Amino acid sequence: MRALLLLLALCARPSAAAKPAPDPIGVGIMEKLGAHVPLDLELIDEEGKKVTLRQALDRPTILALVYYRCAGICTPLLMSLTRTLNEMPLEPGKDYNVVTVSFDPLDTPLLAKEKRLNYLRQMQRPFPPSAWRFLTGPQAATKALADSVGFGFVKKDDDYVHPATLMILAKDGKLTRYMYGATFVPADMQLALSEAASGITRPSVSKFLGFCYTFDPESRTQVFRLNRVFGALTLAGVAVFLAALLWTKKNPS
Amino acid sequence: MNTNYLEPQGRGAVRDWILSTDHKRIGVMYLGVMLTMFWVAVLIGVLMRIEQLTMGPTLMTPAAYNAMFTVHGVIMIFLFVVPGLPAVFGNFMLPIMIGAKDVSFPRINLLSWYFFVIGGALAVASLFLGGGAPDTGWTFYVPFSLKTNTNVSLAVFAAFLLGFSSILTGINFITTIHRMRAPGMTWHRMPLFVWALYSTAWIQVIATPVIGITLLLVILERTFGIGVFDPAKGGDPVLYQHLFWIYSHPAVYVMIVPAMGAITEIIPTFARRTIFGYKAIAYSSIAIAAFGSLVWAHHMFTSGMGEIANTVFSLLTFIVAVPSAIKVFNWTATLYKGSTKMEPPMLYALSFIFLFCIGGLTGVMQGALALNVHLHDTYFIVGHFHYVMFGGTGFAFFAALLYWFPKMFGRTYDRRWAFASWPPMFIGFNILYGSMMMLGLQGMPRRYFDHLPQYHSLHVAATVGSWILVTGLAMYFTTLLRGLLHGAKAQANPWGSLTLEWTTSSPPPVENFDVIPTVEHSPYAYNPTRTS
Repeated sequence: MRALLLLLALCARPSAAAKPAPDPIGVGIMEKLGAHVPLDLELIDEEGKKVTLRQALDRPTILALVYYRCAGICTPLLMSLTRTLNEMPLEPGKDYNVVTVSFDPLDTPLLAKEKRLNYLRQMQRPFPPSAWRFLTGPQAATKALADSVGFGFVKKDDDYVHPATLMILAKDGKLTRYMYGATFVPADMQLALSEAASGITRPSVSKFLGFCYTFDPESRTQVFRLNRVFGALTLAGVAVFLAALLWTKKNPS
Repeated sequence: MNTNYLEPQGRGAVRDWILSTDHKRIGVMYLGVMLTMFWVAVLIGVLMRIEQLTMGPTLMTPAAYNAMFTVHGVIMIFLFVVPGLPAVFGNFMLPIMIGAKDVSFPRINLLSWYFFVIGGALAVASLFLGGGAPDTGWTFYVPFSLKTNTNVSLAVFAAFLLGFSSILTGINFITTIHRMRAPGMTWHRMPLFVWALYSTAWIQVIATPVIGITLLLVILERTFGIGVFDPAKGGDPVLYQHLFWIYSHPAVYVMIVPAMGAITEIIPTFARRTIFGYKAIAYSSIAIAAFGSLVWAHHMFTSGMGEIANTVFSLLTFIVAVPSAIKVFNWTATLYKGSTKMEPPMLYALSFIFLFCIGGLTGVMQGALALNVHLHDTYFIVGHFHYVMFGGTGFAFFAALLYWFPKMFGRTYDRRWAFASWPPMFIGFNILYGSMMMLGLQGMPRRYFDHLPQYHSLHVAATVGSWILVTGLAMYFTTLLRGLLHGAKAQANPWGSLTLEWTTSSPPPVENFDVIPTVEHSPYAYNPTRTS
């Protein structure tokens, strides 16, 4: 019990110094199933031309919010989406579209175009380029889109901390399902898209939120030191227990 | 001194039980609570299967289905399979098997039952109180568990209490085994069930504090936002996964090792033959406990750990299959040329070996990196762990209950009915979970209330299997209940076994033995020429 109190004291100290985050959404997903994305929102396409969401959403759509300079989970997320699309019997451009939107205002249409080329090259089936859009946009527009689907991210130094989640939209912009995680089961994706085709919202299932973040172990050594101290204390306690059992006399029973 | 432990002790019927520090009464109380929870979870399972009988909503809303599989998992894991054999048969049999009057700390033993009941009650309450059932699954993964508004703190605290109960039981068993053995009961004359309990107890004592502290940190993080795990505050969510699995993988050995121990008691009794490879079985329990503590990160292959870590943990996972295989080969070798007598406990024990082999080998398949990524989050995983946890621990529990029932309650059950309930259980089980494995190989995602047309026929098969299985379960428990109420009086040693619990009367007297026995031979010396 004393160990527990010590732990409380140690943990309480840093929390007193740090202020709670002011951002109400913060990082993560605040589910808004059944909500509609603003269809008149103007974004920029791969050629640098203006495009509204209404134009991009003409059938069930997989929406991915990432940023193209991302060194973290964005690429694995899109790669595993690529694999999933390869394994699904549904026809891209006919049964569904994919729309990727960067929430980083520094990403350019040129970079978006290169990204699209990159991913389409990984496709093992005919995939019309128009079925996978890579959009960019001014901060106000992309933030409004992220807010409308409850996608919370924060800027940290040069990078962003953000969740790794796909959103499934019906063609009227209605949000029908969230797909969490960086890997997907093809049949699950197929179900989600067929639900979006009939506009039915379904609650999320495996909500193992994945975050993209940069972690600097050097600045967090106190956590590992605490780990080590408590690990050592536990093992020492166990050793004392075993020693006591082995080297003290048996109870007369 | 001849009154048996079930007779009234003069404090009133209720207080005689809930204030009793008698290890036998505590074991029976665990049994009562666990079987009640087991049946609740079974019925939820049947409802989920009916939902999958047709495509689209059948019985319930998708949200209700999500709550159902969370409740089913939480109850089965935390309130049935983990406490499983140690809490019931460990508490009841361990002191008798080593010739002791009780465990070392009888009052702590009762305290651990109270922690278990309170923890169980809180876990169930968190599912129904305002805020909503925790939707994190039983793993409470951050960062989601820090963000969701459901009753995660309460559920986590319940898991903390259940963990505490487990640590107390572990300390109690280790101390008892070290300190209370009867004269002549050397380490190598201990029944193998006791060895299994001993290894399990060490896992409980070493690994459970890790999860205890981790769960406390989750509560602190939710309440005060200390930022150990929250990446938005500079914390590391992968650290949570490591700490969680450092406990939770060894916990699956807490579930299976005592089950293997019970099987090791049943097989030599009905093969009338000394156990093959006593020391190999005893030390393989310890080896499972040791290696099992070093494989936790195989749950994290898709969490982005790095190639070297993935490969090392994959390799260690293959190694842990070796001690399990040693046991299977030794059981088979024990049966070879034995004078096998087919009684109900033996039938269920043999089906344990069959089902455990399927569950164990499909586990090795998932230890391989490439297959793991392919099968992740499909029905194959669901099928696999039901083969291990239900086909393994569950069938071992049913076998052990049939084996020790006459000793625990002093009554016999109708053996024809015990035999008759086996075919529906075994056949229904394989139809249900075999179909799930096939569905998983075809890509059916787990945790979803609906399915695509190509999976329909196997889903129908699985649902029909669940009806057959539950019929068998109902027959099994009705047989035992009838035995408990109207069964004939049991003899002291109906199976002709040689371990110490059968030398005392059925049911045992309050202090187990009138005179503490002196042990002069191995517990499996059936064949006079073999006394190893």
